Amino acid sequence: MEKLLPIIICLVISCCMGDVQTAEKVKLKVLHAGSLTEPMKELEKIFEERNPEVDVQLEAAGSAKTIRKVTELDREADVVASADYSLIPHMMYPKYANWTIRFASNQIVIAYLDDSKYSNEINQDNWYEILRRGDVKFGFSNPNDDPCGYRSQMVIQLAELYYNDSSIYDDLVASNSNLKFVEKDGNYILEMPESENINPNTEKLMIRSMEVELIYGIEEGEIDYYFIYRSVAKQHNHKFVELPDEIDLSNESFSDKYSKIKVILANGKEVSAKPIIYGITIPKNAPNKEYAEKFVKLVVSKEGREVFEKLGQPPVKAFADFPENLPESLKDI
Amino acid sequence: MKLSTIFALLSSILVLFVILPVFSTFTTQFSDLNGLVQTFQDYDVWRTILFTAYAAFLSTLFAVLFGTPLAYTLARTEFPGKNVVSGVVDLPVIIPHVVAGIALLSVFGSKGMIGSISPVKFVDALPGIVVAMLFVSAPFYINTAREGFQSINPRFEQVARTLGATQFKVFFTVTIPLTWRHIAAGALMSWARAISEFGAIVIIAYYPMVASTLIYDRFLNSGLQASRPISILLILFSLSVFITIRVLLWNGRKNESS
Amino acid sequence: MKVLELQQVSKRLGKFTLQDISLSIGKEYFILLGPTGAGKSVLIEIIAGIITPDTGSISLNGREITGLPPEKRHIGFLPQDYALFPHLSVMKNIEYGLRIKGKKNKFEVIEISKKLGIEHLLERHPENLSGGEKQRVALARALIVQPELLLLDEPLSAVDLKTKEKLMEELKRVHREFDVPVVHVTHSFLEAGILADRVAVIMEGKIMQIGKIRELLSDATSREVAEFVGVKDLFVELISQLE
Repeated sequence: MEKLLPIIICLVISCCMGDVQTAEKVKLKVLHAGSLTEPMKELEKIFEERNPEVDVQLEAAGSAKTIRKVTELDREADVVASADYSLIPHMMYPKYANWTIRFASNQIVIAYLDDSKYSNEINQDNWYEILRRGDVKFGFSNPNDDPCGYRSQMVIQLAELYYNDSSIYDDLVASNSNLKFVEKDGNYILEMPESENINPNTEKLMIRSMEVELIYGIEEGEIDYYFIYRSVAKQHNHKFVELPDEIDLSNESFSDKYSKIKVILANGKEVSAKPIIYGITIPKNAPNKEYAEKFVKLVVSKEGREVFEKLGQPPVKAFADFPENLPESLKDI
Repeated sequence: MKLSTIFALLSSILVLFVILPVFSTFTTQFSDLNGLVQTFQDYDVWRTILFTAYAAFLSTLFAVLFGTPLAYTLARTEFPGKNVVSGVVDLPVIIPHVVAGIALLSVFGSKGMIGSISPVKFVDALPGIVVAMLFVSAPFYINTAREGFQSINPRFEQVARTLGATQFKVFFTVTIPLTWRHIAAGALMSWARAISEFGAIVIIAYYPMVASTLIYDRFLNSGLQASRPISILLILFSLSVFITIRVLLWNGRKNESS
Repeated sequence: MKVLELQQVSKRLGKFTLQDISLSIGKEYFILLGPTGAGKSVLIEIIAGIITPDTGSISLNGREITGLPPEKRHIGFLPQDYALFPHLSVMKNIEYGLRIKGKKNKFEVIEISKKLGIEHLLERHPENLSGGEKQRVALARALIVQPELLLLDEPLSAVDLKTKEKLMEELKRVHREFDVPVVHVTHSFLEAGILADRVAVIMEGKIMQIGKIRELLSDATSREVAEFVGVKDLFVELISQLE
């Protein structure tokens, strides 16, 4: 024991000093929405090839949680990317950030596998009939936790208007849970209960906190269909039904139509349906601003756009809400 | 420096390391007593915590029912492959719990080996929560009970048999009474472990919601301030059950020796 | 009349072997005498049914018991440390054999306790008893179920000389009053000399000689026995006086 003591002390000290190998590298912390995992991994590779002195550390989580890591847990981050660009101004301005660049889009699809029930029948026109069938199970993520979850609700409610069938949401969701849209002056509002009170009928509905958690649900055969971002379905080689632009939250030109649908989350936050646009920012307390700017620049570059295109997240023209607040190196985008 | 001084120093570091985060959770809450009071009065939060305690109780029941014979066998008999069985018992401790959840889903899921033939539904249902809890907490029970069985002299059992008791009777009139404190302590540990499980449960059953899932969920959508009071409630609840039972055990011991 | 009969009982336990033990014991006080590690305790556990022999047969009062579990043998067993149940009072310890058969009988417990002079201990717990008291409680517990044979494993090894004398007298009395044959294991020549009707000397897993203690002294059939008992020459006189 006496002989071991110095060894143990050395071990403890070296442990405190951190990982020896990467000790000299700059650590670039990128916190991002779960749905950006795949493109971010590719961008990480490209970035590290070009800047070997940098170790990009990706951390995926739900968008709100990602932002909360900075605002509530006081984590230092160099780049924050959210699946809903509006969360950044909403949660981070003005203390933690003061600009957002929109850089990519996405859309909600209904994904499935070959052995999902009625997979050979489903298409853009009959999907809600298929989901209505008693032996079909489907899933979406928790609207309280995950934008993909509340967007799925919006899509299903938009479908009522588009297909002119006012019982789609009732049949698929309302009759199987405590979720219900209420019409008010031509707007449709879903007031979310607390998560513990959603009470899904688990024989019909599978709800998980995060959209990616539904993947094992479908791969293990628990559900036949799930509402998910097109990119995620594509990255996992799941088949999917593309929904009409009018309801799938992909098209900016339908913004007005979308905006009739509103969800009030259990925490009181109100979200209106709008096109799915990703936003990125550099927090004010970023320790490595210079590299963070380079990284954001890569995201919005032609190369970055190609990565997003390839992985099912169609890029949009980079657009900053407060261009005057952008760092110098990003002003030209 | 004396050995005892070094030991005291090193020990207190670990004790502080455990206490500080819990302590800070509580002290931070003092600035928001209102939130704490509100949570205390929240029926749904209580319902979730009690439901979790109930599921953990069921899991512990199964651990005792199936784990006691296993613990006894491991403590008392030699058989080929005993080391392998011991290793299997400890396996849940070393498997990441998310992995455990996925593994359980592949067995108890709708297309899994058991799930596909079972009339009981596991996914997103109480039985799923119980199997996840059982998986992660069984080793705590089995190992404690095994220690208990190992600690009693087999002479007691042998003598009881020469007095005419069958093995079965000996087990219930001698072995169990001599080890029940280990058994109770093991069951309590296993219950506590079950109540605090998150990773494995959230995969097999997000609903019905257990306390740890609720806490995580509140953190996700309303932040720390909303989730902390629930954590405190859960800690207080579990701790009070823990202490009550410990005190009962301790009193039992005192009475017996007097 | 034969009470216990062992025929060519053998048992291998690791490096130790108990070899071809044949014994015939009547309604007597029989002592298995031998040095530590000779295999006495193994033999007594085989008789009790705790260890199963590899070969050989055992019968008790004409009844074949070789394959029977301990609970069906009707053989009382007092291990070296008495193994009183620590979770039960003296009363409940004694009562145990009756209670598990559903024949709980307080009267019998009191009666047997009176015979052994432990009536005043009934409410106590085993941990608060002296060595001698423990032995009497253990005897009461074993005798209440009326065993056909009583096995004592080194019953006097843990007590001082003065207590030893008293306890030896008591064992003798129990043997007589309860009319129960006894097999008593010891490494003490003194105990053998005072208590035994007959003695078997056991060494290295083999029975070397069986007979009355005087025969062993005067007529050892082997050098080992002679050496083992020879050291105790000093006691010869004491023994003759006692007899």
